[in-house]
Amino acid sequence: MSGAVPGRPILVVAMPNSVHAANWIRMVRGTWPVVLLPVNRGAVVPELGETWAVRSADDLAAMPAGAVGLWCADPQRDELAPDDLPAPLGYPDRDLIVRGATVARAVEALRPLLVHSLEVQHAGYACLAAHLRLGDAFPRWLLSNWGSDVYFYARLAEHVPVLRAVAERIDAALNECGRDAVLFRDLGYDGPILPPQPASGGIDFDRLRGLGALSPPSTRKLILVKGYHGWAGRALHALSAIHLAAADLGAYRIRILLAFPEVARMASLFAAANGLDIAPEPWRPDHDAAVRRMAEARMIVACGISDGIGTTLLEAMALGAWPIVSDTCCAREWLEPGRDGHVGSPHDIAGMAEAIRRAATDDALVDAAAPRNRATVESRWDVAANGARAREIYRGLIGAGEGPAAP
Amino acid sequence: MEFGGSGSGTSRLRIALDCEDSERSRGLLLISALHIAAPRLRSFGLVACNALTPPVRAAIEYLVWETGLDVQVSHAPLADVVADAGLLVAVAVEDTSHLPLASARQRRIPCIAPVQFPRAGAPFGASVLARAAHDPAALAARMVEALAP
Repeated sequence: MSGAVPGRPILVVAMPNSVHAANWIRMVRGTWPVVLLPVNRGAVVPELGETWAVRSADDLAAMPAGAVGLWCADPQRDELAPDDLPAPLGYPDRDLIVRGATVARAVEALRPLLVHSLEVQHAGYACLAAHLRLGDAFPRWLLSNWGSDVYFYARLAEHVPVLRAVAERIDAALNECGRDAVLFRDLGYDGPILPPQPASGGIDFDRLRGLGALSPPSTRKLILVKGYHGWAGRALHALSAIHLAAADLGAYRIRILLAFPEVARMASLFAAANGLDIAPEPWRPDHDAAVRRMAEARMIVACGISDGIGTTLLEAMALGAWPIVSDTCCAREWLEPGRDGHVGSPHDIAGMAEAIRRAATDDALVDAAAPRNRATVESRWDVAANGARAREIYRGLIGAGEGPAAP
Repeated sequence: MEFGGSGSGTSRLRIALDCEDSERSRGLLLISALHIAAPRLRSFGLVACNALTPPVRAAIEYLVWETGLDVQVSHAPLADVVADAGLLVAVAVEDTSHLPLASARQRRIPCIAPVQFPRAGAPFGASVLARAAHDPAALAARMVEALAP
């Protein structure tokens, strides 16, 4: 079919319902055909763009140039049983997660130049199971380590041997944080250490308003709080910090992003006790609306015991919101604590409260940090630059002379 | 299930912990206090009750990995565990009616149970511990104080 991108594909094993995965695929496609193998039955996010059903090499050969392949072959008998591997936290088992047998079947059918698993506990573990089936017939394997995938799970005994097995088999690991390179070495990985890169790839700064077009942070009266609470998030710690700093926050609206149900219910107690305007913020499917909201915020408070470099932090740095985050993410690799944001222990709620109070009352502090933080993310989170680096990584792994058509 | 330590130190003082994280208990805040107090808790046996939900179990495993504390996750009700404990610690929301404080006090077992947003008529202790209900460092200090010889 005319317009098709010929050649063997990149097989991306990832969450179909992840905006980060979709943005990554959009960032790298064009040089090679890309086929997404979904790790769950979630709906494909619209950010992925046009998709093309792929069940065989013939389907792939007919795929239009602008499309992303979507592996959707009906499962065969040996793909029915879940892999005997630990489930990610929040899942009772791996029943809802793609099987290694499915990855192996896609590999045999499509003969990809490279398998790229985006995230570890769903995609990486399924690729491990496929690798164990196929052995040397498995293609080159790039593993993206998102957020807490290694930093947190390497502390859980059930997951450690699986992470070791992954680390021994991958050809390269792409981390969000320089911090995690050491963890991979400890797990037995002896491949190349690639420069860290955010899981979200990057954003188009040409489409993002400059700080000069936004209100100065010191004039903003909105505080955003990340609402995750459970295995890694500690949103209720952040609300306790707001409670301790309440005397200085009367002029502010406090909105909780992606509030878990118990956080939303507890928010009313915090609001009533302190006489503050605290409420969950509705989810915005439109990313531009989410960006506009961040551009209205004076500060963002994100507390958790594990993270990578959160997209919320990067968006805050891009749009002038003073970040207050935990030292269990890799914020220190992006900003200077105290000068550009607050980075503290998630257990030090009093310290977080003091940081909130300072950001609410020190106009010079938040205004001075904004241009520095913007410059940092413009230099390290740009989609064009990061896309070129990602394709270079792919080329390096695939090796010279194999497959790619002209871009 | 036990994390860390030898686990069976029968002569060691046991601390009963309400690790439930819900709209009536703030177990994850209590676990944060354990991170802070850890250097002073090494000679004690910690027994975590209401700790079987995946986020709380993961938080305890993370705590043990970071601090080396000896934590036993118990399937027994908190009221049963308290009977053999030297201290009961919990962080409650609004009231303490779900905690076995009365039976603990009958046995003269000390209790530290700060309450977030106590309802009108809450006992005197609730206001004394108001800071510790939201500040793990303050809660840790209370625990260390209670365990001092």
